[in-house]
Amino acid sequence: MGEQREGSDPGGEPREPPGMTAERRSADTPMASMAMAWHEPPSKRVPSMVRELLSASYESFVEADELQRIVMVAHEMLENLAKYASHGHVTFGIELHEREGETVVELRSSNGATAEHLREAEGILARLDATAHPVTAYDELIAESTQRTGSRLGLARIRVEGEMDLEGFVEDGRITLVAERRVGPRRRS
Amino acid sequence: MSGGLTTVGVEGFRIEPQAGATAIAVKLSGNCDSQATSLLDLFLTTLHDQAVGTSVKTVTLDCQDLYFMNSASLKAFVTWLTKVKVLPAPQRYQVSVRTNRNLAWQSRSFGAIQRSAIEVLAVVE
Repeated sequence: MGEQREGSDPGGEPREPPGMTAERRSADTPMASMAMAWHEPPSKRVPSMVRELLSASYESFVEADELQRIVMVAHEMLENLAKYASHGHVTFGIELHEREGETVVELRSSNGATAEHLREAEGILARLDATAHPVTAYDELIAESTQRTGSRLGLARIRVEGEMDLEGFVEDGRITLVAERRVGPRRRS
Repeated sequence: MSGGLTTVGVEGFRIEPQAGATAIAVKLSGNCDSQATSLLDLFLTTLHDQAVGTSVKTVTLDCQDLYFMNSASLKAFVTWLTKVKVLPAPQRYQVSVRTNRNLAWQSRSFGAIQRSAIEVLAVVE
């Protein structure tokens, strides 16, 4: 998990987390992107609608298995937004870009959440970040899920089943998640 | 209709059970997301009660037309299988999930579920 940072920029917008700098982006060639923002938590129908939209929009860029991973990760991030966003604006974005001849997918979300939910998310992210065996951590979280309300499995599922690099940043009552994965050579039609 | 089990569904998701003397077969199809999770939870509870009550030995889930499953649904399966695992041996039944090899996410998700219930769950393509 990334280092927590204090403060916010003068405009009140969340700053970009480390690793998402303009320098890094300048080396990437954009292929496709989608961005969404809400002034309140998105409806519970949004994850399904976006899943369908992504499936139709990105099938020409990545292989079927990779598309299934991307769609699952997008769905889990959006369900988290629908369930846990509590205040402020809510954003979700996905971008495919080419980097050094490979296609890279990056998904990001940002939302305000209660202190309890932020602590829970930080705890899960720290647990996934600290282990050399994320599959084992996922299996433990699955076993624990039967003892609590809600599954709390989305982040671990993104990391393990999505095989994504996953970083989370908490700042000023907001959480930003960034999931990234190389999805192979650019698909040629 | 199969005993206490009936075909149920919500928009985009359907569960179709078929009960026999010693086995129950269930077909799941569509997308099992937040709109379907409570239905799945309730169905699996009813399924478990009927399987135990009728001394069924095998439950088969055909997931070949299941296109998506969210993490809450994954938890629903784990919760059900945990109940199966702790049954006394004479009452315990085996569960078999038939997956679709073209939907690679199924092997990842049901593989994770299987690791939590290896004693009672088999995953087959």
